[in-house]
Amino acid sequence: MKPWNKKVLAVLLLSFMSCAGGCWNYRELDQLGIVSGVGFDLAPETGKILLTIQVIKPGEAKAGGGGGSSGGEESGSQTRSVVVVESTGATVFDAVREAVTKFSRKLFWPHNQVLIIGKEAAEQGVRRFMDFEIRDAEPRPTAWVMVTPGKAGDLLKAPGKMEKIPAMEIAEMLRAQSVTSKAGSFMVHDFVLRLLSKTAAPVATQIRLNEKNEVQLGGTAVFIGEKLTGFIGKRETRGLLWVLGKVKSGIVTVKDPDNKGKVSLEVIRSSSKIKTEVKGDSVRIKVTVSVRSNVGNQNGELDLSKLETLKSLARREETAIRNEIKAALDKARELKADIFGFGEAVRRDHPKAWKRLEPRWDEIFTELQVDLTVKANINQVGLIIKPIKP
Amino acid sequence: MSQLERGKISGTQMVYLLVSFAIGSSIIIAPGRGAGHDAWFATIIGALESMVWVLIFTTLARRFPDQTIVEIMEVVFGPFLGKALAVCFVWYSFHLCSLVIGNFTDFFTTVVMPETPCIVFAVSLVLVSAFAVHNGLEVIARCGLVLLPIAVFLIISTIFLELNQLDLKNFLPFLETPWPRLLKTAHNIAVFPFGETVIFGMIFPYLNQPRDGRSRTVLGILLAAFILTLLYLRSIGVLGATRSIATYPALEAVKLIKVPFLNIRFEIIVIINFLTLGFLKITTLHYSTVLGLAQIFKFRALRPLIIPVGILTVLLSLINFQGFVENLEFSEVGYPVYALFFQLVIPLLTLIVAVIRKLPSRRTGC
Amino acid sequence: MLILLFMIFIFLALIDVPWLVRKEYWWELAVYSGLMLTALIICVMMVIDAPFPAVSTEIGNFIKSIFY
Repeated sequence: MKPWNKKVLAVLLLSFMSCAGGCWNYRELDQLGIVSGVGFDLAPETGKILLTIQVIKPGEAKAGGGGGSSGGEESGSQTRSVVVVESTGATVFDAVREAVTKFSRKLFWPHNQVLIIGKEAAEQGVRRFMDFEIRDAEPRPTAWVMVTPGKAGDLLKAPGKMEKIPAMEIAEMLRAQSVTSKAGSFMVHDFVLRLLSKTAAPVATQIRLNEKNEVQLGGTAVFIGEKLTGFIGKRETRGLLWVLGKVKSGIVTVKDPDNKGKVSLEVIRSSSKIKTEVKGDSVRIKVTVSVRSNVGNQNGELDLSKLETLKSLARREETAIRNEIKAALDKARELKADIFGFGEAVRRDHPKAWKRLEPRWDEIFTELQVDLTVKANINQVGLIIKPIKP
Repeated sequence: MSQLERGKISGTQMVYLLVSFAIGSSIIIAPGRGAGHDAWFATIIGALESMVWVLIFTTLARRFPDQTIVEIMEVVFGPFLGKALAVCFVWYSFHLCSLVIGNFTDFFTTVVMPETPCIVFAVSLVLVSAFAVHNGLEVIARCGLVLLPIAVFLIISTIFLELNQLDLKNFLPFLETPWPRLLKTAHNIAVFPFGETVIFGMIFPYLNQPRDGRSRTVLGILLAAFILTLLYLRSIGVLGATRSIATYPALEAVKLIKVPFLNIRFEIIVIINFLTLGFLKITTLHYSTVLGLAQIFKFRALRPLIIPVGILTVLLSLINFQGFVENLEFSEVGYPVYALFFQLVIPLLTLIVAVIRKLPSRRTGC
Repeated sequence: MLILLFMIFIFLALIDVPWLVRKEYWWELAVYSGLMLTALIICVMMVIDAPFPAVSTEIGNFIKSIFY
């Protein structure tokens, strides 16, 4: 490289560095309040937005073992290294800036993983919360959306068990749910996609505080448009996840053919295909769910080395899954919410017919013909082939 | 052949420069909004449409292999009309430069550093660009040689990292967009960024083989179209309907990258890409403005023009629009017609008159 | 503010003017001065907050009036 070429590159690099350094927006780490979880509620008297934010205290989050910190009033749980801040405002952004009246640092959003919406706030409409999440450059669309039957603020104030940062623990918990698949995980991005759709109903994970003040996940919140209409339980949630193809693992327990006990089958893989058929004004949806599972555990004395036994177990598994999906379908029809995205499927496959059908989709959905086919395959039986009996 | 620029660049270097130029601002300002999920298809149509007027200005360039477009206009139209048209052309290069700088500052003030005043970005960028122009065409081309592969590598990596998020269903139904809107969007894409390569008419004479100008331009546009189509495919596949409401779709798409164990903000990659490719685009435009002006005024050196043009470009970028929304409206409504005048009408007119007047008088068979 | 502006312009001029004078490029110097003066005037107008037409918006409006 000729000497003046090197100079060119050097100047280029230096200029880029000065641009990237932060300029006017330069902030030291100790001026930032790193948000780990945010909750949206309605302020009691005024009806304004009540924001609850869980902010990480960097120093204490790094300290090992929890020793030498404040006195142990929280019996049994680790010392928290977060601070919870509440503030109110007419819009989310308003409330965010108001937080500074009680808090010394500017909030920093990119590490926020958890978004909880309280029931009252959700019933009034969640679009304004989503607007903040995607309009502002800092929050990321990969945050998880959750709805609680109570107040979001309470959840963020609850202590964590394993981690020092309760909101991160909630995020980890959500990720871990895939072992039962009784609670789905939905990102802000997925939620917004459904809000943008004319027919698909947005859904979010249900989270609540049980009697022992522990955080518990399970079930799904269903929205029509931007407003909350109701919750569906764990069983129906799994039915929904089967159809969406989001079941990664889980236990399906069936009665064994001898009726002596139950067998638990562990789902290894599952996938689903949705096919649509439009004849005139009637729509028919064909859902095919394929499941591959292993035998996990049995209560009875079945001899699992016999092919017919496995086949019969597979049939029962299929029935069980079909029932879960039916339960989800019934609940969805009751709530009049297309949580499966069938409307969008019809739009993709039959664009011309969709123009006619779309305005009446609410009625059509309740009378939809849905053909459910479940194909279950049992693979492995574990490390013992015969039952533990002489 | 003026002695203003003594450098010579190879055909490959020009292709690199052209691709950087074409991708430069399209990474950020994606003009395919109107076509929804058929935007990738509109890109292909747009690239083909731009080939038509690429043929026109490259034919013009081949008739006059040793002269830049500005010089050609003076030869074809005579000293007065020629200079007038040349001024128009140079104005286009100048205005475009200020628009790109405007895009740049808008992006940085929205996404990265909202409180920094725009002028800081504009001045830093133009300063570096001025230094590059001062060093001549060869240096600019060499920057392209280094920066483009980095940018392309980063783009391909982010696409790979997102493959698991790609939802093929987002592309259906294919061609849901009504044809009029699809064609209009394709035309927008043909004008920005592909048609802007008419600026390279100022660079053709400095190729090692000026006759290669046409083939290299076509190659460059095809490569750029390929990369842009890939980018659109990624944005549509990953974002789905969110794409139509996002201001900077590439940024949103990259935010969704989920790699286990890595909690990196991948947006920085998009920012780096824009920085490097945008810099190349701005430098090329700055260079063509300075060169064009120097040729109109029959300067003996480029140097005195670099700083004044730089300052004026920054100033224009500040007063171009009152707000971001006007920028959007201009790019959808005004610009496609306005740019056509410079990309198509002027070269076509010049070509027709040149043919009628049987210029250049000493044809070397073309 | 204005003083700062003038200082910047003088500094910039010092980069090119001596070189132009040394090479006796009078025509170039004239055009250079013309351009710098224009830039200076615009800068001063910006500093004293004089109203400016938004250039591209005006172009857009012009196009709209013709074609639409």
